[in-house]
Amino acid sequence: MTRFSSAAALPIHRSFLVWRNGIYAKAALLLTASCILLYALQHPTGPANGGTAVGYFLGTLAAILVLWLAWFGIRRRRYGGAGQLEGLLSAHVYFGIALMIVATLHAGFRLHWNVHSLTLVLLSLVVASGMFGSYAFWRYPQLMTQNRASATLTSMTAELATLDLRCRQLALLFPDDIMSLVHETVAPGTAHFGMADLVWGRRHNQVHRNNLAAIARVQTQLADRQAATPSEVLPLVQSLTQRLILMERMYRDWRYRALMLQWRAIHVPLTIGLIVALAIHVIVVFYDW
Amino acid sequence: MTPQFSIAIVGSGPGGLSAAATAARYGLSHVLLERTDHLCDTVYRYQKGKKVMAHPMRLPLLGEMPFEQGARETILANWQRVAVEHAVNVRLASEVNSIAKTDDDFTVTMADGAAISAAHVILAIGLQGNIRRLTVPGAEKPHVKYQLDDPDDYRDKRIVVIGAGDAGLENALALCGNNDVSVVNRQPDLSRAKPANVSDTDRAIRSGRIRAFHNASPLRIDDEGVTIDTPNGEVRLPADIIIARLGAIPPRKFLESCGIKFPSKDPAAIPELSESYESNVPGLYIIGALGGYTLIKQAINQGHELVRRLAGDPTPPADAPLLQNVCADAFPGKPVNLVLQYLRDHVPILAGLTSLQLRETLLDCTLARFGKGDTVFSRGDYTSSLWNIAEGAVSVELDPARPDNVIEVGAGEFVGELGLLSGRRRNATVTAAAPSIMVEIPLRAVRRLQTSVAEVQQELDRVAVRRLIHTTLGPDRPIAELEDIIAGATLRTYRAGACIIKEGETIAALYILRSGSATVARSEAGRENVLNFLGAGSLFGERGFLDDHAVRAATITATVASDVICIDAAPVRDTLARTPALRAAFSRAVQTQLAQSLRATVTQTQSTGPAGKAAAISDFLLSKGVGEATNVFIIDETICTRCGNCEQACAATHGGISRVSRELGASAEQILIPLACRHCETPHCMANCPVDAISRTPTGEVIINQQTCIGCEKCAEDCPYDVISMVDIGARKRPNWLVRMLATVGLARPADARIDTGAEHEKKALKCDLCSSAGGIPACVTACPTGAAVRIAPEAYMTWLREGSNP
Repeated sequence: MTRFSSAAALPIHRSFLVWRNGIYAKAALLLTASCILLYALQHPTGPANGGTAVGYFLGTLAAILVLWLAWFGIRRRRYGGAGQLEGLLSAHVYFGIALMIVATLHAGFRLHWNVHSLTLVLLSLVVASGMFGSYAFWRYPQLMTQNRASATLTSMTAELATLDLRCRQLALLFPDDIMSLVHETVAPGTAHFGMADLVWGRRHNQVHRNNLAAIARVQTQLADRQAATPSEVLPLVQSLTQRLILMERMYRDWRYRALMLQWRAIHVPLTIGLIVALAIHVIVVFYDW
Repeated sequence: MTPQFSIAIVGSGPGGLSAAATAARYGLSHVLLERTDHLCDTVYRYQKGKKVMAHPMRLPLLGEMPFEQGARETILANWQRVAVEHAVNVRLASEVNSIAKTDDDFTVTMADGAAISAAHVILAIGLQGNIRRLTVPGAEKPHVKYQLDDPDDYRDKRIVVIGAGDAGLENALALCGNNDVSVVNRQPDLSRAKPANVSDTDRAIRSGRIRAFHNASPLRIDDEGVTIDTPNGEVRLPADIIIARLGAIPPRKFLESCGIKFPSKDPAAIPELSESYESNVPGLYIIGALGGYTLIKQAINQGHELVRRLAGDPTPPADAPLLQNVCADAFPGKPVNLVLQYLRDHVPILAGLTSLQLRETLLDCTLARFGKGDTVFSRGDYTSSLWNIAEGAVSVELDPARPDNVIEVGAGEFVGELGLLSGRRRNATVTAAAPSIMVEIPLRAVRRLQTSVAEVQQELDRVAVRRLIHTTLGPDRPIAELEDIIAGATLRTYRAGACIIKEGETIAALYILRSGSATVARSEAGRENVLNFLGAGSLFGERGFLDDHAVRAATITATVASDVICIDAAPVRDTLARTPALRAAFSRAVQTQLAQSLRATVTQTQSTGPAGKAAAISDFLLSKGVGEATNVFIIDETICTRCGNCEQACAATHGGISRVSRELGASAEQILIPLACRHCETPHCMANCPVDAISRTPTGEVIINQQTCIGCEKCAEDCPYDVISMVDIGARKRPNWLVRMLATVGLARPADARIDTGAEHEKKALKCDLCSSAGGIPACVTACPTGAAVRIAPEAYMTWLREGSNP
């Protein structure tokens, strides 16, 4: 009828992994099974390799798959039109995994120090990064949503600024050494993370340790001094702790987000490398012929 | 010897000045009499720098006076120039005391005792010269004012504004930034003013910038304040300034002393006029606001048109060519006047309109001829108009499964009122049963008529109640069997959040939701648990009706402002006892409803587990106003990878500017409602657009016409969901592929892509159009790679939550 009612016919909130009841998973499985069967039934004169009839067939299939899978990167940025990108991603994932097997069969399970094997290695890395991506797409949205608990990046940043200000103001009531310690701890920029944090989380851990240390020092130093009463110390310790918890949350948010999206920084350049290697591989094969 | 003129014009506003300039152009002897010491006093007294609008935009401007929307100062300067260039004979400081008809001319006497005589007198005095004043003790004190020239004149003052119409609210809003402002309102709420003013004032009241006293009126004024009467007793408000904005009325005493008759005793009534603006006193004409034409452009056109006629060179009214166009299809060659008379005779809801109202309404209408069997509208279309049958008849097919079961509606009646006022899709297909002439009145015009002509509202209500009861309770039965039930029905309006039925009550009545929506909830362990969601046309309260002593099992609450038909149980029982066939039809209707609500209850009474989660999600959606949406964008955050492809797709398909924002959306229960248009059933944005740039397409999208949008921001202010943004729409270029690719992994930040064309940037209102401008399939949804995003009707989503999400 109208497009309003047709919207209801769409699957609602169904993950790309189970697009149309996993039709592409089944198709990719069928393709893989046929290739394995073909490989098992062949009777090559020498060891199985890319140069046999079956080898050429599997190689051609793998090359077509590589190009088609790479085209996803272009299609993804073509907006509008009727096609649902979700279906294409579903196919991209399952045929990507199938490609790994097809390519390995094409190579006859053999590796050497040459451009042919380089192609296979690059292909494996692309598929591996893609598989991590699929995992990330499946796992991190949930973790991220739980961690955010209805907050937004803007609201968390605003909350952090408020807490920073409060810590600084409360610190004004204390002796110079504690005041400068607090100011150091809440210095701007402590909530900025870089790629290194993604892998090791070092900088974050450092910030975290500093924050904890500051809290501990405020507590112990003030305990030594008779002048400060608990009612004066408590708000500062409380604000510092709240800040610590919020920082943790923001760090997790950032980390999930980075893990969820940044793998493409490996996947895409490797794909470009793969296409170059594949071209050389094909040229070399036909040149040697 | 009194000076003798052909035409004396009283009042130098846009109408009077236009008449005088035309008289000067035609060389007629004339005099323009102005009470104050400057021209155009009403516009002169507008707030400093006020932007004056030139609507209706489509109406052409006739005559000597230039007029385009612009600042008050520019417009006044232009008009002043017209008076000088045309050598208009102006007499300032000439308040007219009396106009007396002598044999064949008039004697006009002024306050200073001078008199003139004229063959024709044109009254163009407007209403603002006769504003309502306070009559309470102390009203004459100097700190009581009736207008506000420049809000910046006041700082740190205690100001009491009396009157909560548009003028009062606009003054209060302009003042509340720098002053302590209270508003005294005679009504129980602010409903009398324009929605934009109401929503701004509501916000100011909530944030404490304005104090409001409703159901209140002033009692007395002293030097330091005003004492008002409120429902809680007398309250004294200290005040430095008291601004009373009580509206303006025709100066009836003066007009009656001139011999002019009024049609009713209502103080706001306007004199009756002929087609040529002549009053019941021959030779005495009335133009502009005093004759009911409140817009500046209308007054200018009338002044010109009238004097052309008096000069013997008549010109058709400015709207004549437009009306001719409207009538051309259905009545080729027929003069407009005859068509107007035809409509009065054949379309009852137009019969009570004044000539002005009819012309104005007809401008918006479509007149169409239908052959037998032609489709007027189809089930599932989106409604934006009321169809009146002037001649012929139509058949209404309610149930597609039973095409033979149709209701025939004849000449003089109308169809389509249910969908029109509820903002829902057409629930029936209407075809012409005989060759017919139909008048299609669009929603906007119907709304205007509803507020200005009481009979139109009553007739729409009456017919809607009859038809809804008929189609809901016994669609197969003749309506005559239902007359007693219809007689016992009343129409009630509930505000958003108001309780219609309370759990535990024992009131025997049946309800049909005419417009709006409602939730069915039961309290469990101290928590309101929403069981079901009812849309317009739903029947409810039937269980309480089946058993007299049954207590209400659930609470029903209006989610948005809703009209509900309340039917007393007693006449229903009597009628059913008398007519067995009706009883069968009725019990079928009730059973269907009962089964549906039972199913909903079974799946949702637990407050934990997946069903509890579904209930929590629907609670959240409804709390965000999804109840009045027709199509809402929803993202499941447990699947969404925050890749931003939806926003990029939107930008790429809409000139580089996204109309969706995830970051500004609302999220709870792992569901995100991004900031994006919901295409409301009765769109708030459409209500105040001065140029009619916002419309609803037959497929339901609410769209803003970029060509006609003037960037006035009214729609953006009126939208309760903040989905309309005012954007500088200069041409933009897409960043190159490398930047785009690096941007997706956060390694590049695309710079502002606007191309500087050198032209002055113009702001336009932008919002989601459901991609009707780009292929018709929402790009945000098709571009979602993970299946997190949907654009969906809320009912479909609620059903999925109830039944589909946890199979």
